[in-house]
Amino acid sequence: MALIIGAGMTVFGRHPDRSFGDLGAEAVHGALKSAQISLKQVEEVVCANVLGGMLPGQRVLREFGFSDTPVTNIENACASGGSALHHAVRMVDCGERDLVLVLGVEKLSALGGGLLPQDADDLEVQQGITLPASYALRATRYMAQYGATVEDLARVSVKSHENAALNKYAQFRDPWTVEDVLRSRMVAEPLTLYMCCPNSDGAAAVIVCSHQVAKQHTLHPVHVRASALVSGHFDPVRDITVSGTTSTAVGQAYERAGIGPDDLDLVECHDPFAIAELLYYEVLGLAPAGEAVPLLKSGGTSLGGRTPVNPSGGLLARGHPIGATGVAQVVEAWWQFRGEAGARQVNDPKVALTHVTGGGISGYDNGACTIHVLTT
Amino acid sequence: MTLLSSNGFATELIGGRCEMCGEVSFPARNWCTGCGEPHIMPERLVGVGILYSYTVVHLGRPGVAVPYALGIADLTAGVRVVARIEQWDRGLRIGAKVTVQPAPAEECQEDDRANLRLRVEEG
Repeated sequence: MALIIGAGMTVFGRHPDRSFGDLGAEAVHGALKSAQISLKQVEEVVCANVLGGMLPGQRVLREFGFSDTPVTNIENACASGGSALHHAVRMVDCGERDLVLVLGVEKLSALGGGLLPQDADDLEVQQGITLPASYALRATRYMAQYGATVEDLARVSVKSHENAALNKYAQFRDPWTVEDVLRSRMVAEPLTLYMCCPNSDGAAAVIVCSHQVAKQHTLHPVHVRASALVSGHFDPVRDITVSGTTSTAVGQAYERAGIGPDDLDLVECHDPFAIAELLYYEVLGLAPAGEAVPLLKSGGTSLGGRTPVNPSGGLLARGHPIGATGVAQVVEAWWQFRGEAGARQVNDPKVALTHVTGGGISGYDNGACTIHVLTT
Repeated sequence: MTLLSSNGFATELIGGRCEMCGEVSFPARNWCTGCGEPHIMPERLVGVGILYSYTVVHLGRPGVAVPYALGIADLTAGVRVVARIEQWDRGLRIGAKVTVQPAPAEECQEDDRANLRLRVEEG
């Protein structure tokens, strides 16, 4: 089994004056310090990045004059961070490596903002689909099927911002009301701007190692009980309110870890748009189909609730530097397990689930999904 | 290959049917998703269906006029179409009957697979 012995991240936000390499280096340095190891001890590096161009990992590690050690750069859209972690876990699980650095880094401010680019040959893109529109279509359908309202969507953002206000690494630090969210500009009905995650810059890193190495460094490693990576299922006429990709991945993860949704003490799930968090409550098994809104309204997924979801603020409020997000979720779990989450501390957590999906191609609900089950 | 034909009575789409395994696709694919072979023949599909979902897009790509309505239609022919909705001020409702129509000439794109619209039918 692979273990995590260190984690670090930058504040997420807009950092146009920081270089790509510098952002990544800050996260790497934080993770190394937290693990009390040096970069020289790292045997292999896996770096997650989506829109940063060639050799993102090497451009970060160049800041340290890093040499010789193999680096692989991974891209799976918004699931890149989880995918990078997945491959590091595999290297350790199979006995090939004892110490691997996982890094996720993104600097979206370099692209100037606005909609993320998609495949110009994709028919749906030519028809006018955008990532917000693809989630808006899910929201329209879900609301018609189950009676959810725009206020319910706004409540997801309100919860995320409440949590992020307690997270010094989050992009947004001000609490929002339902009215604030509903009054923000419309992006794709029913999704307003404040129901959509921001474009962000940032980096996060974790140190993955074998049991042998963990023993030498800490009494409190985090255990990676399951690491599932799946691709989307090709189904042009699928039910868009049910993420089949996540369903497959979470089934594998629960089975591998020997747990169910009731065992989770906290969840960091993929919430690029408010509707996504509601849909994922259901497919992760936190609520039956159609019951996500009652769960949200009951406070069951708020801090202090039965299963806090996105205590960090999630993509909506902590931010979404694409490649970094999947790794930042693990950093949050790391801090939560060690009692270092400050005012957003979950009470004595022992089991966490982190989840990212990479979306945006026609015929599939997502291109990729990773789920990790982490325990003390 | 043209996307759409009309005989004045009903709108037809020209999709594809795999010669090897019979899988129907719209738009016509180059490779069959059923058996993986590249032997797709034109297949006429009736352009009538039900509106599965919709949204109105207010933030679009550079050069694209907003707002515009986008819909997902499930056709009786068993295929799903994503396309803009014309005359959407008529009202958008999941379950409404829709027909597929050609896009107006001035909005046609080079890739003619994108040159279709959904029309919400009254009643």
